[in-house]
Amino acid sequence: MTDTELSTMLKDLADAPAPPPRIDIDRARRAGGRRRRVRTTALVLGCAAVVAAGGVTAVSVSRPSVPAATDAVGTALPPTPDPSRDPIVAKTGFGWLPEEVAGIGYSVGAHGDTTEAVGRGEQPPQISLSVSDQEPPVPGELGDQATRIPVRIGDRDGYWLTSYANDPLNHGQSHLRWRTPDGRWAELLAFHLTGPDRQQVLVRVAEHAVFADRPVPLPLRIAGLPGTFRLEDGFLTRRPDTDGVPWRVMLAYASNGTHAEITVSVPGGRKTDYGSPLCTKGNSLQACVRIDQPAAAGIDAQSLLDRITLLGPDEAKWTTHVIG
Amino acid sequence: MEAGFTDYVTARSAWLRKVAYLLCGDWHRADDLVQTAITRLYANWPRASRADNLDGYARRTLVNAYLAEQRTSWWRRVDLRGADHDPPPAPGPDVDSALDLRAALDRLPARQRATVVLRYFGDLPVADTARTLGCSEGTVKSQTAKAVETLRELLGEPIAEGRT
Repeated sequence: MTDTELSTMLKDLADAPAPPPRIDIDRARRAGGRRRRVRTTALVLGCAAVVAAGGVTAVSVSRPSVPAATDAVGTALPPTPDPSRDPIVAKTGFGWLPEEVAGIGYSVGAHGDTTEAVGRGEQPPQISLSVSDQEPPVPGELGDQATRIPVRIGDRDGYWLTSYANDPLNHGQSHLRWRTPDGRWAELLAFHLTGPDRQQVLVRVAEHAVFADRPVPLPLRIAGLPGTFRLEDGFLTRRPDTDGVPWRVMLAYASNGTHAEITVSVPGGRKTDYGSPLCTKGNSLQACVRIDQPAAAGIDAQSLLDRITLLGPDEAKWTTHVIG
Repeated sequence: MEAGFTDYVTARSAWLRKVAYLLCGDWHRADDLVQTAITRLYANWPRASRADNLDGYARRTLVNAYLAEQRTSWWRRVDLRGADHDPPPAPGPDVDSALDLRAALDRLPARQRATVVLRYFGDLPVADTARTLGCSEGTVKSQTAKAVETLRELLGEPIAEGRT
């Protein structure tokens, strides 16, 4: 096969019969217009107002081990989050988790905020918790025949969402939803759980879930970001068996139509596949910065790297005052 | 100015949709990617409309939307499940070649896949591909070589590597 034939195959694939498009130009204009207004506001007020919309934290990440069966996290008064200082603020947390979980990670950004309990192995057990104002739609992967199986979570109504009416756990890719005390919708997604009584385990996890904003301690300080920087995605993951490092932090910012990405981890691990970042080491950690178009971003990678202080691998020394 | 945006998207959405489909392999996701891209395009329309190469601007916006999606938690979650769900069919003479190619593309890392789509579907030279992906020309060459080698192995046929 020649490269010309590969081109032909790609064009044939793109010309294959397709469903009717769902592209909505008016919706793009409305949403794009809001982005313009938000950007203008951000330019006036600085990035704090924009990052404040990003959302926040949950349980302490200074304790990578699994919390014992306790609701202490739920009863503790959470510190007041300041998203202008900490880009990762968790909205949910776990009060109880099964023993197969080895660590807790956090994701915030455009595609939702989740707290993720993850086990070990190439395909680790994983329980993701999120909360939203509206009932989430049925994921496309469940198809048109998804079934709701009622379940009680404490004194709240909930349901399993499954493609198999006789299997609430949906053959191992489990969706559990319920109403939170303040009327929002919580959702647990679970994959690759291996222990016994998985249905009861997930119900117990749900019963002890915590819904309160808390800033996540991170292993770096950034002495100021350009005012145009807006957080797109941020995460702290703990997947040593796939990443090759015990944890990894990534902060992705948009600025004037370009992108900047900051990653921090202990040195080594699987190389990420995104361009050629500029890296530095300090306090036994490594920070890398990649900026697609420095001129548009208003700062180059070295200058941004110079603003970063690494706090070391001791999570007790990490901070929620990341920026500023 | 607003009419210019509508006219442009109306004229080019079918092309953007095809690029998006080759990037992600699913028409519904492709629509979502195009929706994201044209939203960003509108947000930046005062600048985009003055670009020398508006198609290039739109294409870069679309590719950035696709690559950003790969970094999100949803896709990381899918990645964790990937090894035992929806594996690509084994190559063979009785498997439709288009499906074969789509399955093979699914096996490529995101940036390699984007490189293949830009170079072999978009017919972009190395320099333009590098600008679109925000990387060096050397990276484009190496990513192309790796991607083509992977496709060759998955499809069971040699592909001349003339574009690396």
